Amino acid sequence: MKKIEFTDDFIKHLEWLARIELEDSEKKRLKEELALLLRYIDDVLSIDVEGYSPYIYPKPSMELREDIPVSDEDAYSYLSRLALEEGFVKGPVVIKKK
Amino acid sequence: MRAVDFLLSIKRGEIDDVKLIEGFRERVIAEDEKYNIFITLAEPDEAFHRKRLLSGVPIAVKDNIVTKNLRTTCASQVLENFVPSYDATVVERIKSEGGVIVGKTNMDEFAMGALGTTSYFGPTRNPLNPSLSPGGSSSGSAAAISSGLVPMALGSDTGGSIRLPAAWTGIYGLKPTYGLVSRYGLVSYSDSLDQIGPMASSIFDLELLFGVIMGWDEKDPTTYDKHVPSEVFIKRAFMNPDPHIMRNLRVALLKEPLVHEDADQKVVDRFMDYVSELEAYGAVVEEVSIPLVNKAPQIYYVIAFSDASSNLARYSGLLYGKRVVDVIDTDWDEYYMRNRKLFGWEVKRRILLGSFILSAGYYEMYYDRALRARAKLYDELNKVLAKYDVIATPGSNIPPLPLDFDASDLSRLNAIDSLLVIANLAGLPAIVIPLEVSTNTPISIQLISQKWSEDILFEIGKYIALYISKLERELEA
Amino acid sequence: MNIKIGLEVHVQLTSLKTKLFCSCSADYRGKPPNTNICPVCLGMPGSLPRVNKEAIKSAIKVALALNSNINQVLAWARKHYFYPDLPKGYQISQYDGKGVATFAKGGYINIRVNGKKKKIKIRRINIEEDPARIVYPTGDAETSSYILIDYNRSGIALLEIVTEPDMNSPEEVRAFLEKLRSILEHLEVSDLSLEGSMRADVNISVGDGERVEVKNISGLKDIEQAIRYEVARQIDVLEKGGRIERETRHWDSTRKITKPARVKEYEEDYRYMPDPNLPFYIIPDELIEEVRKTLPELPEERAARFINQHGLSEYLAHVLVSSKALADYYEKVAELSGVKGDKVAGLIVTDLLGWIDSEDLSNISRIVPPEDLAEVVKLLEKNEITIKMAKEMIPLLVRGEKPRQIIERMGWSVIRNRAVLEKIVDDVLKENPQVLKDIERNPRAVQFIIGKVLEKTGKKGDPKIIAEIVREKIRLS
Repeated sequence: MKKIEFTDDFIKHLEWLARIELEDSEKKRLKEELALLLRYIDDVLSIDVEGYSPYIYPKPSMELREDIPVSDEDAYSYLSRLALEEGFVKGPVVIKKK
Repeated sequence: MRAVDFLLSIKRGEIDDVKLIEGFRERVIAEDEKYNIFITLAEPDEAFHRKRLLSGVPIAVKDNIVTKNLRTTCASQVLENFVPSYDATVVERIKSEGGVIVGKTNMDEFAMGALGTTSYFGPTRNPLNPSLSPGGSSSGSAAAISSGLVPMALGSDTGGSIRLPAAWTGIYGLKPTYGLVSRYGLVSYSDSLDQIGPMASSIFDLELLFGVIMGWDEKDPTTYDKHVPSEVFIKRAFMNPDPHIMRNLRVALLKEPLVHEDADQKVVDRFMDYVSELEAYGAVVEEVSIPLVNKAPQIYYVIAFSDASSNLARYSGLLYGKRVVDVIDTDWDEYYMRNRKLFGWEVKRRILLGSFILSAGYYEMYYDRALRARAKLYDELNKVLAKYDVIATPGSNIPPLPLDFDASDLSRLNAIDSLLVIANLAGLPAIVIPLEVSTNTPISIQLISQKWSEDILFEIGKYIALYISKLERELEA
Repeated sequence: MNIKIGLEVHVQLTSLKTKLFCSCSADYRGKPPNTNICPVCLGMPGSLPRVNKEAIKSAIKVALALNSNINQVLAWARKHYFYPDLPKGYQISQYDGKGVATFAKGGYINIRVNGKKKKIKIRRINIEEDPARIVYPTGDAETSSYILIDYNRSGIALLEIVTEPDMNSPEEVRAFLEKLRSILEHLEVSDLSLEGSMRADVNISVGDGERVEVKNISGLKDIEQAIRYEVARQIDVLEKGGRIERETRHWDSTRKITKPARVKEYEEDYRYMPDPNLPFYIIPDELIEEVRKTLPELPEERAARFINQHGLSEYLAHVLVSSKALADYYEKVAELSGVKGDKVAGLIVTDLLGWIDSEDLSNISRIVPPEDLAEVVKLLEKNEITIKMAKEMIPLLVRGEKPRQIIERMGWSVIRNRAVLEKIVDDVLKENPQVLKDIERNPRAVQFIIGKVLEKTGKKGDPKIIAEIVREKIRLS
């Protein structure tokens, strides 16, 4: 893996991945702190993990849920507090506005 | 006053069970000005269940545990106006035992921080010394207990968030075995590390609250039903410890936190005095070294940042929380990206880095490797626990840090992080027991045991509380 | 030009009673918006998923029926993408890699096109949750200034069935989808006649062109139309000397065309990761065996039974089993009438189906009750009506008339009275002396006479008896 360079494009890529718009001051700060954070977590790369599986769930197997319906009036009343339109939640359009 | 004594007095008919919450709000408002403990106060009323295990006991709840019709903010501007429609399982259990939820406590935003300083609502101050941090992220819950407002509280612990504030404010805190307390209703930060746990001013109260909240929950698929029954803890919360518990107790003293370059020598020396006392009471203490412990925080951060980027992807302002952009006259990407500007900086940088770690090409390099390194640490800790009853470390190997400590370089927290996150990474139970308190240098011990073996931690904890610690002595039960 | 088509089909498991990860009803259709919801399917902070056991059993059924290899470890992955219909910012799905695995791998479906058998390979089968439903206030995505979201569908269990690019024509795709639909119907896991219960993403490449993906087409008819359109469009571009670039397009179901998807700043990076809230579930062998034992007769076995035991032709047998409703209908009519074989099947396939919209196949029993068609078959069998009459009755039955009513109203009943028929035959022979003379040279003259007689009876004469009489008379003359 080639060394990561904290270019403006890279920061823009991160903003897009995380869907968080940053102020210019934040971009500058992010570049500085990313260098510190990545240097720190890069220590993980030096750990020999040969032979270890990524999973250590403390229980052997999960239980499954029975297929029995239960209705939740509270969730409905929660949503009804939002500004609904004929019961629908209003959201922004998906197609980019010019 | 200990809740257990209070509850026994009620039982004997000496006092009325509404006594503890009388005038609570007035007292809180006065204390809150000094320490900034609560984000939201409930209206404690007398409509709690009578004659139950916790009847009338005021309990504070960390603000990342959802409470029905009581605002739950995670100390974030993003959720400033979020009023959940349901109770977390632990809150349900407390209420059904008559406990009174008195308010939601301050914390690091979305539990991300070690000092309680990343809260949108401002930092909590340490009741032992208001110029110092109470430790995070369960800062408000610790301060609520340490200041005497409540006997017990709920915290959550992803990488030490119950235990560090317990150590720094001189109270008890337990991070249970992963899967022993339901996370249903705990706002996720890093799902495989998060656990809700009890915090209390007395070890007996700690055990009682644990007994009430613990146990398998059908709503949380990561809880496990093979555990010591809750009745055992509830019963023992009113009983003295096994008087022979120290005799031949095998204690592995973890070397790394004691010799860490950032460890405070005075703290370590004083801690070692108490270790000698354990030996004097009959414990067999031997030093063990696990070098991987020093890299545990790095493993932890890779996993936690990645999980955080995933778990916090839901905050768009659409169904809950605040929005800066309205839905009309915008498009989804802009709406989403701009509403998420409301996160504080610590949260933003963790999401940004976590998103990167999970992105194409980096998952294997960082995340997968961290998961495997975690399995290795789990293995090494369990090898030690096969030979010893508990692993011991200081609750903190440094004194509480000042509120303006700059943690933008997380490696500066390696000394405390490394002794705390190991229990989360391995899913092991860990308790912090205060040994002595002072305005600048509280001393405590952390004990880590095998999975599902909280009972031994409580027994040792009670023994230390009664016979070893220099705290105002706990009364015998 | 060589055409290669691969499908990603999403089918709802409509037979389930609850959603995939919560206990909300799976029967969301027709309910007022946002009334079939809970914290889990709204992605509320703190909520956790719980896997529906019946969904796993349904998926096992499908995997067994498609000859696919079920992964013993059931594991879940988060697929991150940002869209207003996805409340958590990720979809809980399954994935091949990143430490988790797809539900089942491999397998195939045999299809028949123009009598030729072909094997379409399955790449994988996954279980995942359905997003919410988006409605446009103006009815059109282009002109709406905001969207409306209904979470009733959010969290419904979906099966994602991905094929290899083995199909070479729209006809093969149709045959594949019909066969798949029939299998799912026979397994009783899905009723795909329900609106929106079958959706597909289609990959199409023509000649040397790159692969084009057409996303999110709903319903079998539209899937076929979209493919026909897209194949024609690509051929057109290539023939005009253009190039087909790799791209994603959307199906406009109103205008019946495919359109390029909007261009994003960056491609979506799904950042798959194992879902830490859902520990592995080891699917017990016994569970698979239990499901295997309950597997019903599948379309192919059913067709074989029709051929071997009912004496049906291969063609009719396979048409019947292309829909469970149709095959059931045939069996019911055969049972009620006591007549089986091509006569009954032909009446259904060549006549009845011509009058019923293919979308309405599942309602065939309500359009023409099997009792009614059985009666027609019985009348035919008793020679009370002719096959021609039977055929003419079908559209009237579809309109809701009863067989007896039709016969009465039309004044139909077969003339089998020999005396009556002999008289008419005599008349015809008298009127056509020439024909009688030709009979030695032209055997077709007999047919001519029979035709004339039938004409005179208003087509009500029993052709068998007429033929007998005519032959007798000729011999006598």
